[in-house]
Amino acid sequence: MDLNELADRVEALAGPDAEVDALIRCALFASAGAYVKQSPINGAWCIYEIGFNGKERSWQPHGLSHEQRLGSFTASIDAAMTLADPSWWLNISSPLSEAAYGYSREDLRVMRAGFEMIGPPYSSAARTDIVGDPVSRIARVLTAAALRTKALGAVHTLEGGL
Amino acid sequence: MANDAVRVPTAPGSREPSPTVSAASGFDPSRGVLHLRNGRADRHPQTYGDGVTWCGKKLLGKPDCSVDRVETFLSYGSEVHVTAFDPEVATCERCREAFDAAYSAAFPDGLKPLATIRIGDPNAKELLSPSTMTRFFGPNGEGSSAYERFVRSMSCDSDGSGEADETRSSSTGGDSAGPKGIAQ
Repeated sequence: MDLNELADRVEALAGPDAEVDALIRCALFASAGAYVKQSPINGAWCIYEIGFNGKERSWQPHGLSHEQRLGSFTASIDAAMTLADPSWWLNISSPLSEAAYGYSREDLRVMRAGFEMIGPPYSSAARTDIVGDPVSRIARVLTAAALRTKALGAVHTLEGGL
Repeated sequence: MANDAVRVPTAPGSREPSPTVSAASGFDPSRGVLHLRNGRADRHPQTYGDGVTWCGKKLLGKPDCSVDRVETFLSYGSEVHVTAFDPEVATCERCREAFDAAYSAAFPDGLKPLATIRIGDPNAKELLSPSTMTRFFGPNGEGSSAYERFVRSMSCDSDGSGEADETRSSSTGGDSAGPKGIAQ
């Protein structure tokens, strides 16, 4: 699955999703040819690959942090932030007016904010917007923005940048 | 909070949202309501009821007021009271476009750069944490200006040398903030 398609899927989620977590892990960290499938044993979403003997085997994550191996990118801010490089930037925008947070009533403030993640080549940003309750969505917003930034970076690399 | 462009009249006689719908969907009506189009306006012009979106999804919540047939779909003006946007609705491209159009009309100045945070900043997680978001942007939150001040107070120098703003790993404000000039 293309990283931008994955980001679209993350943005559309209304809550954490273990399958999407596995798809992200597979797309970013697993070797080519690895795939996500539900385990017939416990129903968990796992990453498999085809071994040298031609048989399916579980993919073994090596060299990844705890959050990258086991974290839920769609639920945990800690896990989501491991998808971004520490040198990247997150740009938060908000409506110009304070009133935009509560269109008519102070007691019903609703956030609308743009989250732009900026990575190499640092000239373009991957943007995800939040409208409504940001608390439950911030991890997914960060994850989606990181995926889009990685997609942008991949395109840039293919085009011979940097 | 005084902004005539987004002032909405008080709802005349609107009914309470169905607790069954709210409970089933996980939508908290106390956080706000959303109404895009009153699908029952033809048959029950005087009735306040749940509507449907362009993509046919049933709306969660209730309109605060409905004048005749609400064809404007979504408005920050005087016809429809919009205080929340359900994530399910946001998956519909047409809904989002209409929402964005209405939003742009209500806030023509667009979004203002609020804060720029380096991912590697040790304070980044704190600045984005649910408790911080709730504190500033939740119900009765302190708002964007307070968040801006909070980001500024949490900023630390990327090299610990106490240099000027350009070296800060977190910053606030507009054009001067951000990675321009640091990663080239």
